[in-house]
Amino acid sequence: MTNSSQENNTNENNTNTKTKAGEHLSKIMKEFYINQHLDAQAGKFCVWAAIIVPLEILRGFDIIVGIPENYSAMTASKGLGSAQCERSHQLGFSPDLCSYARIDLGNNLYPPKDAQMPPLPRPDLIITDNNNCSLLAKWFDVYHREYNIPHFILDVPFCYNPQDYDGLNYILSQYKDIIRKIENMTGQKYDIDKTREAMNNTNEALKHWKRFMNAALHKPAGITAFDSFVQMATFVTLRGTPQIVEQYKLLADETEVRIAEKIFPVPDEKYRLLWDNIAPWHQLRKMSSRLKQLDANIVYATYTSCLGTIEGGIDLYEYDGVDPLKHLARTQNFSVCPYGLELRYEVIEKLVDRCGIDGMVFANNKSCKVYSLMQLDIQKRLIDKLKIPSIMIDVDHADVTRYSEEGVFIRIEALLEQIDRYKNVC
Amino acid sequence: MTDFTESLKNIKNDGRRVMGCYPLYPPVELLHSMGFNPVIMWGLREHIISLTESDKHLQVYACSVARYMIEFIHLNASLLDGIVSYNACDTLRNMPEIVKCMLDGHGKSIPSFTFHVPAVSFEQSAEAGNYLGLHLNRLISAVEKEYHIKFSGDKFAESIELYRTMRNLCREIEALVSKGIIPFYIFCEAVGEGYFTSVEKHIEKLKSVVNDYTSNSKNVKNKRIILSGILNPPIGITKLFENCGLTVAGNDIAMLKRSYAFTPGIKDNPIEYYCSFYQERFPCTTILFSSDRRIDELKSLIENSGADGFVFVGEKFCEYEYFEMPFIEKKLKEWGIPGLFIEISTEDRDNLAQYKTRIEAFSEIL
Repeated sequence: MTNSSQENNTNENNTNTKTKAGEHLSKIMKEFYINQHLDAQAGKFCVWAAIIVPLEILRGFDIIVGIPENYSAMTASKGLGSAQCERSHQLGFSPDLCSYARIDLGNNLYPPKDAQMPPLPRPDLIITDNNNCSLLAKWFDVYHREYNIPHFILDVPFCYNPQDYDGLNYILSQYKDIIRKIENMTGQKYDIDKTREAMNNTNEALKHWKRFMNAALHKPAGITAFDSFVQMATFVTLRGTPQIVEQYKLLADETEVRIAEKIFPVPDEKYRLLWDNIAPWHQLRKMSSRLKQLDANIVYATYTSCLGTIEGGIDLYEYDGVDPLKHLARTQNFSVCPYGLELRYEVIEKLVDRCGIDGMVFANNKSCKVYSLMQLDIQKRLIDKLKIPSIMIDVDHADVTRYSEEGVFIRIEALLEQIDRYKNVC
Repeated sequence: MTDFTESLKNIKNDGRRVMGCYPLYPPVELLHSMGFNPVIMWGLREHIISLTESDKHLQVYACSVARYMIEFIHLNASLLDGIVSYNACDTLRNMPEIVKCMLDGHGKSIPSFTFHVPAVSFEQSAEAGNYLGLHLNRLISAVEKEYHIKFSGDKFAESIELYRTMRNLCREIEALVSKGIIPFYIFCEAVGEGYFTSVEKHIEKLKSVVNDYTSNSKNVKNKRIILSGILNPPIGITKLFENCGLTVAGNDIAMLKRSYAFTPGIKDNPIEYYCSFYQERFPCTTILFSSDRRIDELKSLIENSGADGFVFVGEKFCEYEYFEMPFIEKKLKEWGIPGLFIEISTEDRDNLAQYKTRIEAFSEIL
């Protein structure tokens, strides 16, 4: 089981050969999923966690950690998303629900007999958070009821302003509740040194990640946002492990070499675009290829800019090596959705400036309201303040039936024309 | 039908400040005790026809609650002295800044206060109660500072009693609706209007409804249903139930029972009061930790009311409700209770024929 569809997209733009980082990603993801099943067969305790639950804490135990959201993204990138969504509809789940949730529910509660991707090992405990999206808690709560297993919800205050001292302490107290819960359920003793080591690994990996992302600053850019989408798989599943350090070092090193060798994904890059929302998993290859034909490159995305940051930031918030739990609590809002419009606009403004962005693509994603609902006002402000042309396109991150390639590209082409006009005027 | 703008003007004419509150369960007793008339800005579908302003700020797949609310604030900005919100759901937590953008665009400004209600049980995370307390204290301080007023425990206790009385009356009318004595649509109107008037006037209104109908002792033999959902169904639909020979024996609607079912016994301490208010209230899909308790409550509701059927009136794009429905459907089958699932979207106030057909058919199978 691999996410090769995702990786096929990675840096094969010029040479049509898979990069070493792409090959290595396939390998470690395959091992990750196989090992989960082997560990489950050996009777290991299994936790399903939402993607921004601090995995480094869970590394303090000898347990399996399954990530349903990654599994859904992988399913979508293999073109299997719609079929799994349909299976969830047959179970009575509304087509208006998030497509990640629908894929996952279809896959686990009504698995196809000839499944290309077997479901994750059955969990003993579920841990979610409500700051990325509180509907995650509702989604995972279905398993709590169906499997009759405990569900721990990590309650994280939404940030209209950067996290404060009390918010941090509140999160910290809940980390201790999580630890107690797992200790009680497994009989294992939590090992904070393992979390410390995991935090060091994550921090090291994120330095390489930022080095990789900085390739987007080069003109022409050394990467596309699609490359960064693909490589997020390691972050959401293997955070805190030595594998993520190895993967991101390889990725950053190789990308820098390619820039030195003048190998660029869009060699005649004329338009540098910024993406706002979750990756369109079912369109990675198609969209990047078509953009390349237009000499356009989505060089960066808010979705991947946020890894390792705090609210409103785009730079790495480094671990000081002192207190891993405190650091995790401070960076608990590292994804975009846990903070408000003002902070999100701040991120976009920084990215536009740093990356030399010509235009912005807001992906209006019915499956992810938390990401999408502020976009109309952010777009207006972007135009008013920065005079940056932008478009809003309809994209569902995992359900291809809600996507029209031609409709989207008509808009993208209009955006490029708008950028041309703007450049001529300036 | 009551004109809610007129209602706000009447409140202002009575010399009270109006505090607009985001749904679902804001701390109305606290705000009332501090001299405000809290209005909870939901149930607006039949009062606002156009969503022109809302559409500039929210996509059409936002729920009708959010879309109508932003339009309402736009139309009534000059009548609102402040706005209070909490993290009731993913959409509503994003709204304060969107509303601010909307107001900024019109050169308007309304003081806005947000606070965090823990989404977890205190049993799971003991610190959650202290964190709620911290946020409530901040809210009280911010309101005191903004309006140069002081919180009073005595006034808070008085406000609690007023809201307790109001909620008790709602339960009394619910019982009369269940007996077929008061039409369900009258009940919905009476409760719905209460969100936009003073609690004192609301109590009077509810008392008059009780008085108007208690002499009516008809003993109807309709089939009995439980209604579930977020908002009161459109009036046309509420009338359809009785026209189709169905009595609403009980409800699990956020604007109705989930709002009036529970008032904590605490007298004057706002922190203790709201810890109980948010932890022990009637379960709601937006109270994330209450889903297990909800199943038990629904079972009791069905058994105690002698319901023959269950009707879920879903609010389109309220995923909180939709994630729970398949499991409830499964439970209904286990309990031998037929279910009808209808979905109301933003514009649904007039096109009722499709619902009539379905409700009639459902009535026939009971």
